[in-house]
Amino acid sequence: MATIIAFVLVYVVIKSLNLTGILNAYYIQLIILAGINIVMTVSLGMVNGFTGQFSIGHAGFMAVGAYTSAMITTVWLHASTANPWVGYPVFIVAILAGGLLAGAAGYLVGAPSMRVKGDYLAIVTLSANELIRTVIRVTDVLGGPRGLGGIPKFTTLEVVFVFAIVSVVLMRNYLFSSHGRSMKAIRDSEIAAEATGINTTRQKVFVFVFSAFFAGVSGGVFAHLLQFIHPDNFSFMKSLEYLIYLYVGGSTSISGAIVGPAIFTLLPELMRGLQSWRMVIYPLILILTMIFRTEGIMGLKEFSFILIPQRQRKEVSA
Amino acid sequence: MGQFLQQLINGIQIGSIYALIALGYTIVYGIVRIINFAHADIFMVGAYMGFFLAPVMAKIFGGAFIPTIIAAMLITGLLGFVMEKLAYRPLRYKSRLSALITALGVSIFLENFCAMPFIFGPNFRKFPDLIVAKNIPIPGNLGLNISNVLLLDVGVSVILMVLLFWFVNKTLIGKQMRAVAFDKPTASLMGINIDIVISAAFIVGPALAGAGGILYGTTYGMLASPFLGIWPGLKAFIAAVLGGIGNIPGAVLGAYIMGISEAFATSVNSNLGYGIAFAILIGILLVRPSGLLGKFMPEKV
Amino acid sequence: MALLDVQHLTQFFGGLRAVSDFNIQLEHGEIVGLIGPNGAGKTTVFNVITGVYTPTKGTIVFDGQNIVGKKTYQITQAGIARTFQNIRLFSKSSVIDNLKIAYHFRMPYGNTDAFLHTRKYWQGEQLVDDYAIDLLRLFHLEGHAEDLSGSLPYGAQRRLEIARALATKPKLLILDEPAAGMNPAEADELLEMIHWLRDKFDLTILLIEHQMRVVMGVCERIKVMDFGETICEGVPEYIRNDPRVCEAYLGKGA
Repeated sequence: MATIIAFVLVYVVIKSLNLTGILNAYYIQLIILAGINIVMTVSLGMVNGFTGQFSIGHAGFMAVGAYTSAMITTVWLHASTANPWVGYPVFIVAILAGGLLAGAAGYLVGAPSMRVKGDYLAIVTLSANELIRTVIRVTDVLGGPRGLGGIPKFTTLEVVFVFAIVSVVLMRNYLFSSHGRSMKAIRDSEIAAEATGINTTRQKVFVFVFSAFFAGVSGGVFAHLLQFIHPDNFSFMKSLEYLIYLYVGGSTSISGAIVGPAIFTLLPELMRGLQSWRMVIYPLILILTMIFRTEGIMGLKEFSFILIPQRQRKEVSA
Repeated sequence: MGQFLQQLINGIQIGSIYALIALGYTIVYGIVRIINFAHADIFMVGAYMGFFLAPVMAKIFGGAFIPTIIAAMLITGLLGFVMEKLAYRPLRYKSRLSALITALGVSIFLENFCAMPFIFGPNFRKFPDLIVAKNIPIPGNLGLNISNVLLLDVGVSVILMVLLFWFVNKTLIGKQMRAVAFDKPTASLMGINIDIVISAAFIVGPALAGAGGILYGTTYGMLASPFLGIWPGLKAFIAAVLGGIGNIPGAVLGAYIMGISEAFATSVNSNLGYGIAFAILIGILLVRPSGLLGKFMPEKV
Repeated sequence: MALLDVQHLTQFFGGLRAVSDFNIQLEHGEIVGLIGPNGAGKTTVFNVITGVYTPTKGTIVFDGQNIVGKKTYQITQAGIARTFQNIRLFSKSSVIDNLKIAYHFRMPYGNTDAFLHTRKYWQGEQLVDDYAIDLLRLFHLEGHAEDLSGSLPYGAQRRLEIARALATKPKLLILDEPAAGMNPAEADELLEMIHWLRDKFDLTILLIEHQMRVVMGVCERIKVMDFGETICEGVPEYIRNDPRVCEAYLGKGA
């Protein structure tokens, strides 16, 4: 509950700043992007941070969701559909469909990979990311190398806030459950987790799949913001950005996965002149973080609004 | 039949270059158990060294190829050594995941740094002619074509592989490397200096990649951008995995299989050539994750 | 019927024969020791029983079921729990979470409840929390419940590991060199604990150890291995005086 309140407060602040003209549309768009990046990073964090895997192709799943949802809305609706009663439900169906298809892709990639040594997962996810892009490129219906445009603009500040709140709360809930504990057990010692009766393969695959699902939905939200998508939006470079946000923010906490993208999405605005140096500076920050503060900014610490209330235990006299 | 043989020959040519890169991945992985993502970029640096050094070498030595390739190998070897010292050594005792993440960071950094206009720049460059390309028709009526570049690629690779084989089996440091790859704690207890062995791996592997870069430039005649290492690197890594990661002959075997498969696939359809590497990767995972020549090493419980 | 019945177990690793025609039967409630010098094959036997390796030859029947070929987690769910020689706790999780994880496969709620925090979720969480805290109390660890397990002192970590194994509610508990790194006083405490474990939790215990003091003190029956084979078997007094055992263990004794 506290989580939702915190997010709502932030929304109220931002909205009022917007309405009073202090934050114009450009900054609002930036905040929306930050929200999308937060959900992407938190979902990546489920696999990489909490289950201890090394998946480096997350943007591939975003692409699946983006293109799926865009196809649905552009085929079923005219870009000029003004009627929100028709438009929004289709939008929601579209992004959920995108998420489901992305989840299926996650299963195809994850199921065979989780059975074997974790090192290979990196190469497999990288390859999957590129393979998905290649498939999009050669498929004319999806626009191929020209990209896909004419996507209706459904994504607003309100939409992103609801989306971010729901996604983060769902993932937070899962993390604070028995299944979440199993994930962390796998991260800390997969052998011991097996010995404690956990079907590690099944758990790893499931986390991978739902992480892909959230990435897919994020992709849908993204597509309906910019109204134009292109395979190059979802390249390995993009996956890398999410990795940097995650590890610098702190992969062992949800708060880290929120702080990382928030900083990196909003920071570049303050460093306008250094834009061309972005992809030189970012990896450097990543390397330095790994060497000097491996746990990232947040480490294991969580913001209080992320935690769930602890139950009181009945005292038994010693 | 002629077509078949021609593709086979092309495959061997590509495979030779992949082999030089794959060997670097496998040697490093065998000793420190991390996938050096930046290896592909060292290969790229080697290729660019060819671009920059060839004119200089031609002036000094008259002939360009041999001095250039040697210089490139020295430079990439040095680069590998420095990379290990700066970025990987501080992480030696931290988790493997941190090392992997750092390797990724180093790779991205190298690519984008080299793309800076004051380094290599992001644009296409034509690779200098280190040798004059000639076609050598094969006698017989199969209509086969071999260029002297192909002979160069295969020849240089084979020579380097033989040298590597001698190095790993006959020299002291080579044997120490094998010991460390087999059982690091025991090797160190027996007095082997692990630091030196790791540095050696990060010199030899990258040097081979550097040679591969020169051959790549000579074969394709151009350098597209500082991101040119990514694809060959990925394929070479899959090849190393195919042969059994950590296994030196395996890397060579995997590389030639990859090269030949790619040649045949591309001759059918260029998109297929793209996909064949993935198909091989999926095949390995499903059928034999330890690779063709790899041994399944269970974790000591 | 024996709780655990291992027959003709043989294990090859490539050309190396680690275990040769090994047999063991454990009756319910026994405390049995498996000893031998390093490299004798004890850990291999152990790893085969717990599903880490598939045996080259032989049968293993536990509680009436054949467990050869089953995965480790299935074997744990069937009722065999183990500890590790070099402690493998979930170091970045809290002490109490380490126990809760062991309860996961018995948890009555599923993925959907986990995402939505339904009533089933809250009930399950209460259930496991009560269970875990009670278990921690038995091991005198309840004061550390929320601490990171990696921050505990060594002895406490060992106790936690045993507690975690017990949290899976096993019928058979296999302890892998539990006395490693302990001084004689601590080892004596361990002996008492092992007896108490068997009685309190109605267990059968298989102990793998090469410190004689511990083995002689607690085992009712001992099997001695060397070079992958059984070289002697019987009650402690018999073993202690057997010349073959002395030969294998030259210099060691309790």
